[in-house]
Amino acid sequence: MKRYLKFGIFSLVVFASVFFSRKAERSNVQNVILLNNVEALAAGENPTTRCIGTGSVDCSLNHEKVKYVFEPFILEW
Amino acid sequence: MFSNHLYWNGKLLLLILVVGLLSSCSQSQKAFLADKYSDFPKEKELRGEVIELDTALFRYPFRIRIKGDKAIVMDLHGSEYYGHLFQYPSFRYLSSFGRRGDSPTEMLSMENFRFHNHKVWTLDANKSELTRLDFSSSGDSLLREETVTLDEDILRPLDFAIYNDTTFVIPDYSGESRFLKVNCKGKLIEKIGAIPTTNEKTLQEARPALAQAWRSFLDYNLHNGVLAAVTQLGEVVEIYNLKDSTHVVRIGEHDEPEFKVSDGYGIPTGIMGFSDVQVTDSAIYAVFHGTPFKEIARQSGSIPDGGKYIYVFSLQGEPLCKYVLDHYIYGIWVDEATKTIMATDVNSDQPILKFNFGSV
Repeated sequence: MKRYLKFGIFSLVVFASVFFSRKAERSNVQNVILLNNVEALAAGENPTTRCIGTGSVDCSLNHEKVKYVFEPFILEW
Repeated sequence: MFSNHLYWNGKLLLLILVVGLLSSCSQSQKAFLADKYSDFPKEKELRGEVIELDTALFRYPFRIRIKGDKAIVMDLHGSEYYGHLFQYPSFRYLSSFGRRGDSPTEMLSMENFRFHNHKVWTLDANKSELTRLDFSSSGDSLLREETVTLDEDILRPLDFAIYNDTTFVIPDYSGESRFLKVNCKGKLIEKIGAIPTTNEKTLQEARPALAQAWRSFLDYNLHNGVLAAVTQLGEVVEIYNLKDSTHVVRIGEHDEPEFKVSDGYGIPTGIMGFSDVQVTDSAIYAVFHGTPFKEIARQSGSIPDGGKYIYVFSLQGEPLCKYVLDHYIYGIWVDEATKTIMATDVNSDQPILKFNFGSV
């Protein structure tokens, strides 16, 4: 009986660890997307990125096609 | 009896461990085996012939396609219309379509267009719409016939290809997969592949930015079932054979797209890579730039925009030939029957070029 109990607990631990590791993986991806959205919103009207010129690069700020995208406050680019 | 119990317990334990291991492995990212290429067995210089147009229409002639006696040139930054229809091969102007504007029948952007069954499909990424246009009875103009609004789950569709009469293929901008199959009602029906990056950390932590940096242009050939995608940044060519489900990744000397993450966006830091691709019945043709963004920013306007190279790969992804051009080009249309390549040049007021390439 004791052996069955041990076996039951062990299998429960295995399944629980698989379940939680998968859940953590999923929530990790969701957290990253959420964080990116929060960062984009926080950037608001003063984003640290700039889209310059006329070209074919998709600018994520205004959905225009531009020549290049850069961060103006980074001196070494 | 007791030993029998032990035997079955042992078996069950093993089964649980195997199931546990398999299920935890099933979510892990696939490791992609990318083949590097550095040179082409053949290199050839091509001289372009400028096609004289009697009308100045274009701000940024991005795509060109030809079907029968009709040619369409798409202007990415068209001030009034995005699409222009010409008689081919004379390039006599016929009409324009895809009016720019906010009304329901106008377009906010045009990313690409495709000929299919004597009709033309266009993609508006900003409205997330595919529109079908039919030729008028005279054949001189295109009339808007049907609009398909894409599912809200489909993020910013920046290119498309026609898979069959009822299905489109669109790059997945969310980064969760590589391509999306979408039906004629705009509903997502299947996700294909994954971004073949070796940067697993970014794939886990900044997937949307990675997907932006891996923005790709694609083309699908209905006859041989080959879907090719080329990255706008870096130098990655992906070949999916949708008939036999094989997938080949070829990476050139400029490697994967380089970028950094800022405000959740992917900022290009490496080079401008490919700008157009075409899968013909026997090969894959792609326009390559190779200009560093650092150089583009420093020179601001003095470097011609476009690529001076056309790379040719076999349908299995083997490098075949590199064409070095005397003009900087953006979009191409390859006709293997006549051995000609029609191309667009965004730097010139006469933006249509013709190259003769002989045999590959």
